[in-house]
Amino acid sequence: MIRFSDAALLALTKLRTRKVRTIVTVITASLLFGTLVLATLLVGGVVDSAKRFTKDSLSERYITNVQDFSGYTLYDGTSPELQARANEMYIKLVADKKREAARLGAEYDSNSEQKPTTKGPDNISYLDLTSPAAVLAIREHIAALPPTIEKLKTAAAAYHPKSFYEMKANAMPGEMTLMVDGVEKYKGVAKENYFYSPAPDVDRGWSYLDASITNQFLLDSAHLDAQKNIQDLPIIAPYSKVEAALGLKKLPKSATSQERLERSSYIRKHAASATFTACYRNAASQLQIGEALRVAKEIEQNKTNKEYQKPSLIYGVPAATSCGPAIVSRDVRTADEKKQAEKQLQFDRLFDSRVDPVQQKVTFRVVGLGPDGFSGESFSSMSALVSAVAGSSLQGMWVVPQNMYDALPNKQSYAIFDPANAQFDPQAFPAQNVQLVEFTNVADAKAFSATGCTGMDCGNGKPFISYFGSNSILLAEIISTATKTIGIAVLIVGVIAALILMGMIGRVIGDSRRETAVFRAIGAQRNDIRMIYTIYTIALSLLIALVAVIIGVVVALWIDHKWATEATAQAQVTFVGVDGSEKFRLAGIWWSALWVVVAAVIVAGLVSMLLPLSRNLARSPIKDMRDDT
Amino acid sequence: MLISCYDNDYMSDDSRLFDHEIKEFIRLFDNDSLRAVRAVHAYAHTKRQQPAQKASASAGPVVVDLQDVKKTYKIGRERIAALDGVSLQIRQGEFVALTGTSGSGKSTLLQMIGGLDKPSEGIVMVDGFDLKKMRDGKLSKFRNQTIGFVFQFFYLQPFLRIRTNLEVPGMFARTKRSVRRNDIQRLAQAVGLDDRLGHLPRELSGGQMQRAAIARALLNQPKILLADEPTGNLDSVNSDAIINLFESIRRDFGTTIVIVTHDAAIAARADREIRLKDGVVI
Repeated sequence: MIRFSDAALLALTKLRTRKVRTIVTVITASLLFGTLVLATLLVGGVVDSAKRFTKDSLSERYITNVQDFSGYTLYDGTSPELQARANEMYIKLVADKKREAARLGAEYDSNSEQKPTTKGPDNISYLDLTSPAAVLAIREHIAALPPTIEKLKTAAAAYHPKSFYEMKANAMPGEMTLMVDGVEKYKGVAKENYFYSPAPDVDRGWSYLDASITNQFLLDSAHLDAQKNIQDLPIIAPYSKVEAALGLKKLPKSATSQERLERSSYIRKHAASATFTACYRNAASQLQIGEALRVAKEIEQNKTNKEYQKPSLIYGVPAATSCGPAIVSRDVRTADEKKQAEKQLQFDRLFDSRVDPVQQKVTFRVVGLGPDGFSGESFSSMSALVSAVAGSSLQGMWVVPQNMYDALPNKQSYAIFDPANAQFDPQAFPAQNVQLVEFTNVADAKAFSATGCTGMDCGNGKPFISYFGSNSILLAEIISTATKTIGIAVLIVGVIAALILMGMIGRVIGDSRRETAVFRAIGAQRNDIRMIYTIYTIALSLLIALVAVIIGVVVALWIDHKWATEATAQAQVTFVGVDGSEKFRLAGIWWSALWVVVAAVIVAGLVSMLLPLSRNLARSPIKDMRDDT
Repeated sequence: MLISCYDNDYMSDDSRLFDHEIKEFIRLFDNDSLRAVRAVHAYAHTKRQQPAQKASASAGPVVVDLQDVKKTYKIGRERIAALDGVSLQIRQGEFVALTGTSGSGKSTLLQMIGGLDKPSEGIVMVDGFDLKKMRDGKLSKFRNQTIGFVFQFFYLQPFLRIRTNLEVPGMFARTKRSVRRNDIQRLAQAVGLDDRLGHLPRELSGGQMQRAAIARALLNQPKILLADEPTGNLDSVNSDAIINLFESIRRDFGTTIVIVTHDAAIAARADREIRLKDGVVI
């Protein structure tokens, strides 16, 4: 067979034939493949930038978030056994209350004691969660269960888990109100709608989380060391809340990327000086304040009413800055009334620990910055896109680093919020503890995630499992999705390009019938001809690939130039743990995908050559020489 | 030295030496003019002594042997007999002209000899090879090594320099480039194109292109040179020069020449004329 160098010489000479047609074909095919090259460069750039931005953070860690809606799955309200136990407790409770009421001289009507079960419209008997006996039975049942984390370890064992963590929700058998400018607003202030706020206030609750996960969100240690208010509760706060706490107004949408970068830098530098104050009140405290406000209003309304008699016991509203208890401002009760009230209080205390009013002013000091939640903006904006890619599951959440909490000198003063003291409260929305499971690779994490529930079947025993952390698994998902998408695109573009190339290469081979005939006449074998055209096709394909890469690179660089600053500004805000000098580049090389595109060009070319060449070789050289004469 | 040879009264039209012959003598005698002149004289004397008749290779072995060769083409429902029982023999070193009117089968016969086509019936033996039994690969090698083709329209590659055009048969023979280059230089001198090797075909005249095509055909030193209307596109002067070249090739290399021609004058210069009509030899 002809030597490769000789075949290459003859093949490359062909590129000089039909120059206009060759140029048109190269440009057309290059534009097609150029779009694929562009896609790989942009995906490569975004993924690479996201990885850099989350380096030394939750990147490279594969963590899943498991929520098993304990409130609904830890017990079965229709269970006959549980209902029987609740009934036992009801009977005992009524008996105990009667006995104590008699002993203390307090008033007690057993008919008012809520029975533990009720029938629903389906005529099925359920535990009535308003019944103290039912609640006691449920608490007893849950307390006897193995810790949820043990159940999780069993479920995850098959997927080679690396570590387990719990993100524990704070206990809060009451309500918290943010003290804006240090003032507690008792009424008339609508709280932010939790479901639609990208970053709700701390009064909606916070979580305690292991240091190995919270560390990457912490502020610079120099800033932390400079904090004087070390007795305040340390907390990682959402970016926008810290911004507000520092007295900064949100930048307008028209703000330039540079302005946003500067704002981000300022916030990082001063966040350690930001504090939040909230006032906690349990139900009894709220009741007293509510009663105080009601009576105050009543008194005001009856100011001129001579027949109006003020209640014998009046609570006054405490100073708005104090978060203090309701103060008794008038107590003209008789001695008997006071005594009876005291007996009743003693009686109530025996069976409900929450009867005494509890209030506490809590000041939080910012020790870290977390990204805000997803704002609902469409992905069509660069900011939203970057936010989604580099975002974190801490989005909008307030998190207390467990190690910093444990190190507080006055940790006991926060005991009421300590998750360890949390009791099951059926009246509260199930703000459950969230378990985190860490794996060593994407495959195990995804396999475990697939065992969770989706949509409507959640709450039926299967936990809801999602990915946690900045971008580790999300990036793997992006790459996987991008790979599939680009793969399909390569196939489609490859077919189109093959058809275009078939037209052109077919014409070239067709036009070379006589040349092929002459070569055959002077001794060329069919394989010699095949090698010449194969080299020609590969050379043409490589030329197309080269032009496609140039087109893709030029456009990618233009996109990067145009939007990189905006992307960087958003990424700096979204992922606050990153070095402030890091740039979010939109163009980068995804080598494996790029080689696939180049290979696709060559394959398209070779495929397009097959039919015309086989036809050419099957022809009679004599006929071809004659036809052109 | 050259002038001396040309002016020498030993020279006559019958024994006139070609330029290339003179140059060859000079080269052989390492520019020793005295020895070269003596050799030239001796050679010219020998030529003059030879009978003034066309050289005959009748003593050479048979290199082409066709036995009752038939070739039938099917065009639609009709069967056309291009060759209808041709039997002939050609010996080594012969210069044979195939003549006949259009459609007589002469080109078909040439293609049979060259292995470009296979007979429907009969035997085609060339240089001891039964071409009908040879498969495509061996036929290609046969054409490359044993046959040299010259076409009416030259069929040089337009984007290759003349040097590279001449190399093409050597490429298919996997000859080393250095060897090819040497042979091309020699052949180019022989056909008078040594100063045109770096040109493209479009920069050459018709006669020069045909000489290049002949040189290409001779690269692998074929035993048989087949030319299909080699002067069909040339004027009379160039035609004459081409036939002279064929004669010298036959004489110098012992190559068997078979040409297809309409031109009676050219046919007259061949050793033998084979006439065809309606696919048979007449």
